Amino acid sequence: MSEEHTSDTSTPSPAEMLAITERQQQRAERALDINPGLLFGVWGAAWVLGFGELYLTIGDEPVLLVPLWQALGIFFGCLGVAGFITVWHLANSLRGLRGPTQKSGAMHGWSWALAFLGLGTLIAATSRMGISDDGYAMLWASGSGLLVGLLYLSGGALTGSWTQYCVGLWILAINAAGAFTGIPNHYLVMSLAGGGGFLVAGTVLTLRGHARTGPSPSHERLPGEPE
Amino acid sequence: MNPADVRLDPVIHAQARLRVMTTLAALPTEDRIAFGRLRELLDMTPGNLITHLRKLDEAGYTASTKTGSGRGTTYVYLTEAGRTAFDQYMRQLRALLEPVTEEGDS
Repeated sequence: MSEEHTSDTSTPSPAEMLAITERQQQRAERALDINPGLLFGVWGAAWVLGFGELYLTIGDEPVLLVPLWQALGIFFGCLGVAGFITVWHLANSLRGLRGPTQKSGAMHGWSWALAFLGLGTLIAATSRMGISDDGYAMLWASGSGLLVGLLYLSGGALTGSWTQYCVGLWILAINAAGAFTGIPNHYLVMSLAGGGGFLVAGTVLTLRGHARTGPSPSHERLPGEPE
Repeated sequence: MNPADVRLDPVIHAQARLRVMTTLAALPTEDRIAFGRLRELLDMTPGNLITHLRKLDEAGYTASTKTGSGRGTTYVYLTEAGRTAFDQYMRQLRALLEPVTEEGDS
């Protein structure tokens, strides 16, 4: 026993040890866990602002008179900020980690990038056949909605997350319905129903996260994490 | 079970090593963490962390892999035995604090 005391100044009481482990667990989780509430919040804000701005500036009788290049610049600026925050948050959480979680996270990240690359290629090929500006805009808006919906659907399926799965279903549904409203009305649907949907999901996840902070089992598993 | 009979695992029952074990157990199974990041999460000096990791390694609770050759990065992880030992330690600790609810439980 004397050897124990050379490296550890003291061994506290069981209650103190429990407090120590709970404090450390919270600290580790806060630093390591990806915060889906934050990401939904960021993308929700980007869609509300970005698609909302497109709706107000594009069309035959725009509410705001802004050159197209500026309108698109603001739109991609919103998405760019959200993308930057996402990459920054993921890189911070996953820094110094190796293993199945990091690998599947990276594969999932690449599937988003490749999906949009594929969509861009497909639309470029289609536009060579000659399509109207509205057709071109609709392909981008509804094509993006389709990909986002599908990626959330598969992400939710693989991690066993109903929240993600329902977000995927919601985006697919409002995207399909919104497409029939045409351009620029579809932008309003994407802004209010799409971006608004993300914000609702983000709020739900954040509230749920706060509800389970406090004394918790020895270690809670992430949804879909292997047993 | 009489709480007084509970003998907490001496390898884990030390402040610093309990914190190391807690942090590693927060990672999903089979995930590993770089030595530097682990040290950051624990606010320990490298020497101190190495000492405690050696003890945990000897008990078979943790293990590490090294990437590259020479000064590569060391990745630390909890072994299956380590996760089992940690879970058992936590159960015993909670049982000690709630002796009333332990009737008939084994």
